[in-house]
Amino acid sequence: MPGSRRGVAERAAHGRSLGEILAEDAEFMRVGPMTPGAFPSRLHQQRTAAVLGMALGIAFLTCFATGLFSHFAQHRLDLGLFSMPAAPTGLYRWTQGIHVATGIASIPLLLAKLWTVYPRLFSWPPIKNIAHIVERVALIPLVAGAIFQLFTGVANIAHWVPWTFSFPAAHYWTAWMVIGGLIAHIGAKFAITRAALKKEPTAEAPALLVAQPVGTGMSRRGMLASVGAAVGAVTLTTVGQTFSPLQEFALLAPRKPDIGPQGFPVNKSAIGAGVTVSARDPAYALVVDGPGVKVPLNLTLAQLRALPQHTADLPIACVEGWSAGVTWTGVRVSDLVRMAGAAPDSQVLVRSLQAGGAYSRSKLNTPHLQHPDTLLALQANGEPLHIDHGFPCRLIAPNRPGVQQTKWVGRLEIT
Amino acid sequence: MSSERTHGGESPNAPALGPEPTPGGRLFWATTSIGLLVIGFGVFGLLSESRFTQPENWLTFFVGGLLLHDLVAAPLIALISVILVRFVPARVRPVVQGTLIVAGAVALVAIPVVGGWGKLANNPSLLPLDYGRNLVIVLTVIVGIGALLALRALRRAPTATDSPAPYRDDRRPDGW
Repeated sequence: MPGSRRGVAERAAHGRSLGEILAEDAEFMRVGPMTPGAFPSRLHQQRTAAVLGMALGIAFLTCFATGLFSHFAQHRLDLGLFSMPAAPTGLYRWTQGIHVATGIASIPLLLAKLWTVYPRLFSWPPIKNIAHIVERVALIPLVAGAIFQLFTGVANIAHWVPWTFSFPAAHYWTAWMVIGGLIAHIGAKFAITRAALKKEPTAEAPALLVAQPVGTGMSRRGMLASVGAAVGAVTLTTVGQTFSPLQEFALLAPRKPDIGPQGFPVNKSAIGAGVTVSARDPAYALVVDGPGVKVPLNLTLAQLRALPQHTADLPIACVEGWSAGVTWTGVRVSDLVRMAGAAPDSQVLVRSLQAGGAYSRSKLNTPHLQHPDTLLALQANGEPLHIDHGFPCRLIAPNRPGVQQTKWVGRLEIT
Repeated sequence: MSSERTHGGESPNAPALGPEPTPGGRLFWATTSIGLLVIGFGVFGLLSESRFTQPENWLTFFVGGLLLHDLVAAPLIALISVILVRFVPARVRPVVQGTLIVAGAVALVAIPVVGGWGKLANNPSLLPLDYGRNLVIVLTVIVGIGALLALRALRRAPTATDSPAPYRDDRRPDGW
């Protein structure tokens, strides 16, 4: 009865907040999903949200940390503080394998978490106070960003590119938005999450939050077990692309570590890079020059083969989360640097015959240059390199993203 | 909708998530300030590298994903839930729900490889498997396990939750 409704000022004087007053006046708009009981499942619970939220928080922080590691492995911070180490050899293989596996595992977790708290999207009143507005706005980068990161990540590892932006740049900057949203969300939900995770009642957190309404269908434990099984299923069917003991189960992985020329995968083929002619040119010679060089070198393939050869077991570990162990044989880059009369702590820019493209060159820092396993490989698994693996020679170094293991090397520029 | 009355949330004083707590307090504002700064850093970076990030195209996917989830995927799941509650007996419903969760997650994650839009004629090591066949195998295993669990559920003695019991809210204080 509008006639009996008190004025805004009067209600405010009685201690009502503006949000409450607006909610009272807009009650007629409370329809559909905003009505009480619109979401009848007993599984929309604080405790489910808390458990899934904790798991997802850990997963996202893992993805963020390993993602930053990969980013700075490729875009060196020139602060002198952070330089990618050359050891342990398989570090990048692990961090990037974990990055992709954790991202895939986050998909069922995120969907279950969003399902659990979906009624909150329609909470009434829609806004209560300034803090509530800020909290809801900060959720947009968190939720939209999480969906964006998982979708673009899973599509990218299958080389499905339905967008026009650069995946690494967009994935990197969106990661900051997600983590910012996560920081805000952790603070906003800290008290209620702690209360919901408590098993025993305490003064500040009644255990009643844990109580599960009686009902049919799945229980909370059943739901969490199912989400856990979903995480297990998506992991088991994909993680074998980098964790070879499980490769027979990798039925849905975009790569298999033993499928490809010479028994391991290729990311960019020679045709894709446009080097089929230049790489097979009989007049090919590796050029070693630059301001740091006293004796410029010009080495034919036969001359490279005549130099002291070294063999190293190093993984090729792609940013896309697959990896394969390979036995490489070739010339130590540090030997070439010494032959050219350059200092052992020089900067080396490795250039491909591939024209243009962000990955047609890479820099070697001092730890990588001086590592005895850093080779210009002429052979893989005992055979001359396949052209798709970088014939006539490719860079291979420990603990390095695959995109920096430059293929079809034509030139070393030493400064 | 008598079947829905079996759920706790139907009782007006038992919303499973409870009323949304009003945010605020020192911790809230501290983490929110830091979080907004970090978000701002991300937005700034995205805009400053617009040649690579193509903000318009980025925004299409950023907002598109959110809308696709909130307005299409989530209501679709709700619709499936309503159908389940209507037609699947309470005794096997948990197993059916669990099977759908696992199978749905696997099918979703498999979309990019089954679709095979990234295949390249010049690189056969990329997407080298028959993913359609593999997805059928994985889903068959999941449904098979679900069927075994459903059989087990049908064999055990009936319990109280097999026949809907009304939700009694005698332990929950007001206003949590």
